Amino acid sequence: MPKIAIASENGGGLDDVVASRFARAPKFTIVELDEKGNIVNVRVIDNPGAQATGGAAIKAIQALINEGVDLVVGPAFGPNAQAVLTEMNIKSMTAAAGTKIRDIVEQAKKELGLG
Amino acid sequence: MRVKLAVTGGKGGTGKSTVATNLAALLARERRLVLADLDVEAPNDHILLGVGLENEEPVKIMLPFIDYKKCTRCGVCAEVCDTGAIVLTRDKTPYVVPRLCSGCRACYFACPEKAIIEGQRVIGYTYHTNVRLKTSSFDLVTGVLREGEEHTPPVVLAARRRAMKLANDVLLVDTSAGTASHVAIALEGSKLAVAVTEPTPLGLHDLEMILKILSEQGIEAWVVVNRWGIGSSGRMMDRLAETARNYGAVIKARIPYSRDIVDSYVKGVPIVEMLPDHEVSKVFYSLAKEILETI
Repeated sequence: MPKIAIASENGGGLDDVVASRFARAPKFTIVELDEKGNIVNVRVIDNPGAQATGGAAIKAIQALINEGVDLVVGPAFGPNAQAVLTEMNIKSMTAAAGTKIRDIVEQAKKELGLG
Repeated sequence: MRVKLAVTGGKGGTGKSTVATNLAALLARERRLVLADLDVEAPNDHILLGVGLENEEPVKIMLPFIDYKKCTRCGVCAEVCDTGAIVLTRDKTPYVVPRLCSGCRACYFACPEKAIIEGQRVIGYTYHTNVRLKTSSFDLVTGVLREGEEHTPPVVLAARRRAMKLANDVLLVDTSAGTASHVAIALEGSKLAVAVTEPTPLGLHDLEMILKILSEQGIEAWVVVNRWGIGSSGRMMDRLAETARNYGAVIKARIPYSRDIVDSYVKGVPIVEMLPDHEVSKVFYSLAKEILETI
């Protein structure tokens, strides 16, 4: 089942908004969809990159790799982050900071070719 | 090398390279001098001296390659990696991100299967140029970090080593702005450091930071206030003097703000050579004289 991770500004969840920075976002909202694009599960995980002294993006991505996500959503991705996401075959999508996460899911479905 | 001197200052754009190149021109009249431009992220002493970068040598650091036949996917390499340069796929297959790797070899030593192969990566270059001015000549060693690279210390170290090998009398190093570890590496072993600042709040703030570093390294600090006359110089002066005093440093010179320095900059000729009688040049003469007496 497709999984999306959205960099979240506050406590995460569908009512939170997209964080202003990907690697330093405090939480990632993990949204699982079924093949039709319906939301089947929403979870929130801590971002280990949030408090990292260095290599924050990589620590964040490592957590998302371990989660097995297919698509990562953030306001922007740095060169290191983009390189690793590409290498790990994870799709990325940018969305303006402050966008409602619930609204992101709709766009993400299109990105994944669902629904 | 008999003595090492440094030009530093904390804040960026205060005129470190202007001071370094002018002092180099003057000190080289009396002593055999090597000037090392260790501001490897933005070296520009060669531009101010109107010379090119010659005799290129690459700076290489270790880059791990994974022997996937030997790798058992234990994940130890990623665990010990301090810079996050090793990412594990879901089945724990390691993947190296070269740009993040500092070449520390921790993965190489930690891998229980000896599955890490030692490769190399060029992260920068060092150069050696002979500088011939009208009244003096000296050697310039320059370190250059490759664009996009973020591991500065190995390049500073390589340039420092190359300069030390050449220097048999006086070594003058020009550091980058700031107080990063690579600035401390550049300063290490100096007898005296000229801390160039400016009469602004930020100049004051960053001067205090570099004076702290210098006092911790046990290096005598001479403060030079550049761009004297701008803004509220008079008011800032008292605060600069107080900060200097707190760290056992002294304010040795004030360089008046002058457009002629910009002119010399553009022409690539130190002002002490271009306009020997200029009031700015006179400040450099007395500073150089005092340095020569001290060393």
